[in-house]
Amino acid sequence: MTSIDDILARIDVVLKENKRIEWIYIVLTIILFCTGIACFVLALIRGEFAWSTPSVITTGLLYWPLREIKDIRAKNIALATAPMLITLLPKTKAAEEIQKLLQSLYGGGANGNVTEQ
Amino acid sequence: MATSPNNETDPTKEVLEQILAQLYAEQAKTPSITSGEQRSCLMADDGQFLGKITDNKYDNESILNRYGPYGSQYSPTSIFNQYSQYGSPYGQFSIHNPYTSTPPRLLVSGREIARVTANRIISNRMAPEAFVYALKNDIRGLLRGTPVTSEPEARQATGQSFIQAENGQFLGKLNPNKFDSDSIFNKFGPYGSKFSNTSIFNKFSDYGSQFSAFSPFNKFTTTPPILFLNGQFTAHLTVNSMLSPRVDPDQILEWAERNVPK
Repeated sequence: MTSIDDILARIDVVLKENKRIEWIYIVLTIILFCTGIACFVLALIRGEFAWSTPSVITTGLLYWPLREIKDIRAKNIALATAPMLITLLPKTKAAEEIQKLLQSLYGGGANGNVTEQ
Repeated sequence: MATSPNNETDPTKEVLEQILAQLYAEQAKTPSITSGEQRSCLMADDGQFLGKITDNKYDNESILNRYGPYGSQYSPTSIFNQYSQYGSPYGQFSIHNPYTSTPPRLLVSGREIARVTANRIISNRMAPEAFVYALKNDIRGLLRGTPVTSEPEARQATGQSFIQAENGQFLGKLNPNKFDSDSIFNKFGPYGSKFSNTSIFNKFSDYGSQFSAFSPFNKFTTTPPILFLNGQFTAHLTVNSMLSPRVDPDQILEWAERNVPK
């Protein structure tokens, strides 16, 4: 089993990777948003409101990247908090808090797996 | 260490689970052995302490403390971790391994009262479902060494969908998962195989022949198996059209696929 120190070192790598993915999502979201706005402005200038349809669609599509960005940020907060919990709290309490973090991020929880199989 | 409850490969989740496993492993190294209550516990066959049997859910060593090293689904020393050697269906020392000969021992006041295991050929056995049910609902009975629940009662109380013979024999889960060893959908398992004595699909067994009183295929029986859906009696499993409600055993797989959630 890897030691806590090794795992904490890995947290930095994962944080960096998450940050990279977050930036990709931000750029894609901006592109999607600008496309929508451009179509909307075009619709207004040309007076052809059919051009506003793509903007409605792209605005709707923004939901997914924004949700992903929110999730990645929540994960990054959890990753950044974990080392603090380990160093500041007793091990029993740290384990409890990290498990709660995991459950709030990924759902699930009760130890009734046995009966749920 | 594979402690993930599902197969996602999310590095964040993986790292957090590794930290948890490590923290729990360090806590599990030092159980206190001094108090009298400590002797009511679950012990793995390799000597690993698997948690105290106590009604105090906040005791760090309690098997019911879901944030403790013996009750957490992420701890390598927990029977609730489906990926640990004590909780996995394949773990040598697991309560869920139906083939293990080395299941954990349930000690009450220092005396072994049962082996908690899914392996039906182990003598003095307590089914995992009954154990977990007793832990959560009848811990006093468990601490007295006389849990009030039987395996069928525990299955009903935990809302399982399954078949039970009139004589109390468990005849398999209705879970439409062909990889579940207890499912009638598993053609290689004890309840789905054509060759198993406890399978309704074995034409020569007590539970599958045309002539046995406990068989669903006996047209004249008044004691066919019973179907439980989500823990509730739902129907008789029989070809005897005089009994109602009933489900035709020839269509049980289709019926289960329609009615039982995967």
